[in-house]
Amino acid sequence: MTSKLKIILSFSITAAALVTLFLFAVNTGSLKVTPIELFKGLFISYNENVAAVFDLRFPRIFIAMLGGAATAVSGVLLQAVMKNPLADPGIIGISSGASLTAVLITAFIPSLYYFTPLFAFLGGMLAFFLVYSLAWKGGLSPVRIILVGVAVEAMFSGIMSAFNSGTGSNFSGVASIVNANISMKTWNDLFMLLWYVPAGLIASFFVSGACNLLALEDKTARSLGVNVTGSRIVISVIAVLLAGISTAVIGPISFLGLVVPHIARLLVGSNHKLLTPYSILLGAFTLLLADTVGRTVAAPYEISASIIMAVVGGPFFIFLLRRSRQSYAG
Amino acid sequence: MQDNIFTVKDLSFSYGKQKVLENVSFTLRKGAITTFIGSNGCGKSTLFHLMTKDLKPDTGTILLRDKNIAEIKRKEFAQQAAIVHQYNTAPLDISVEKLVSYGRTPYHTMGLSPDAKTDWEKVKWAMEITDIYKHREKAVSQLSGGQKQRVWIAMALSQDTKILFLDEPTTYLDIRYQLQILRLIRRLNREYELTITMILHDINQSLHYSDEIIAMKNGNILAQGNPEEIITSKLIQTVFDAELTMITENGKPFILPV
Repeated sequence: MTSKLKIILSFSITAAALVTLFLFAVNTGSLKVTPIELFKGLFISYNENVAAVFDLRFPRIFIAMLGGAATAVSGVLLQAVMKNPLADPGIIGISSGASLTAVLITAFIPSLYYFTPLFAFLGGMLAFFLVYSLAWKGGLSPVRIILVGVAVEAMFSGIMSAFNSGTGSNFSGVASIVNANISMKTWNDLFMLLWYVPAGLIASFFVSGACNLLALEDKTARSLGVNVTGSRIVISVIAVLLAGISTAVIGPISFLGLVVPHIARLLVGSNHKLLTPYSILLGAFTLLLADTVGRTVAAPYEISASIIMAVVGGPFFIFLLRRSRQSYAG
Repeated sequence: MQDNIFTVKDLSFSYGKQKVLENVSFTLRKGAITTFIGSNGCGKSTLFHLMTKDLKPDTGTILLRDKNIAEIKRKEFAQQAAIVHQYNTAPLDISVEKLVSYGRTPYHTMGLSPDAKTDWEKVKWAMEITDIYKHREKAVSQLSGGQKQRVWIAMALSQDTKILFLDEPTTYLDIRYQLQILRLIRRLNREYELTITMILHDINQSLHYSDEIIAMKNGNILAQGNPEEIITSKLIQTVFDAELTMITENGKPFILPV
């Protein structure tokens, strides 16, 4: 049982940390603005510095937050569907399936730019379907999902890198997806996320009850009148949608969908009615933190958020893998 | 009280090429405790999965009163019949009360409850009758085996059905908890008029607590009826492939499992 106090504290501390990090991120870089200047510049009178920050840093910050929230919730949903605390849209290839289609659209049919998320979603579904059906052997074993997922992931990112190198890395849009680089993003990219991510997040609230019931044995859920297969499909579609969209804009981020839900479960428990909203907060915080750290540690050079996530998330994944048997009880 | 609540006709089922049930037919009497006995792998559990819509039969029909269960929506069915499975899992941190309240799921629409008051009454009743009300705020994973089993029974009871299936409800429990569960089952049957169908491994408990026994072997039904009438050492020997002594004490048959 997770105490109410711990839950309330987790939510409020994380929310406060997110606001603080936001203000810090706005102020990090060659231009500095104080929160008061920022407020005045945004809402009262024009300020050159604030305008520059607004055009360059704001989209990036919001994209990091939305992308982080979407990826984290996608992880939560996939873990519920696969009953596997190790499922992560990055590790099992959904993100690379999505980014490969995003790359192809950006390179070959740039006129469909605004529909990139939809194609990324289809690519993600293809990867998900591959992993799910190839890993199925009268049931889904956690390790088999990861093994098949790693193979699918390697294949898609291989094709993508081949395409990027083979074209002399000339398509900057392509390269930014391949390298999961969010430094050159504009308000347009943010608007693209704003079309889809909030819808996906709201949908994820509606399935939180179903996610809870899937934590039981399938036969038990069925005996409670739950259409288990139907629930799985709906939840998976939402998960792939969220991962696909964020990938279309920020590129594949591994381990975020694994690390955030895991920490969230320790803090607010496994009830999805709390887990999903908390993962939104923590996911937004984590990716923004990774991005902000990435552009400060080696300034003026930037380390992309996905690299930071991989460096931190890799060891964390191994740690989880070693204790994954203890997640469910009889 | 002779009316049938379940009618199973010519039921066959196989996992791939392996035949599990072959042309099984029987009826379950309303208001009775019916117990299936048989050795491991004789098809008892599969039969329960079929009768609770967890699996679909290859051929044959299962009627609930006079309606084919294939035509009853899963949710409606869950308002009429509940099952406690033999093996269950739940998240480590879920509380007793939360898990028992999942039993109200069949009455909810889109995850929302139309009647929270009834929900709570049924959940409370289920926790009280299974004697786990005092543990309601604890995590299920912290409870003993016997308590856990009562939590799962409570979840099925909060479904508020008149029919309850129990697949080996006493397995893995020590004798004190076994009796606790069996007495609870009898009480649910006598006081609350639940029709109970269960699978038990202990022959004597089956004989003692059941109104009817159905003996199965290799996917077929060998005998059905009142325990005093049908149990003979010959039947037991056929069902379990073991020679066992039968004694009669106060007019009741007992098998010596040694």
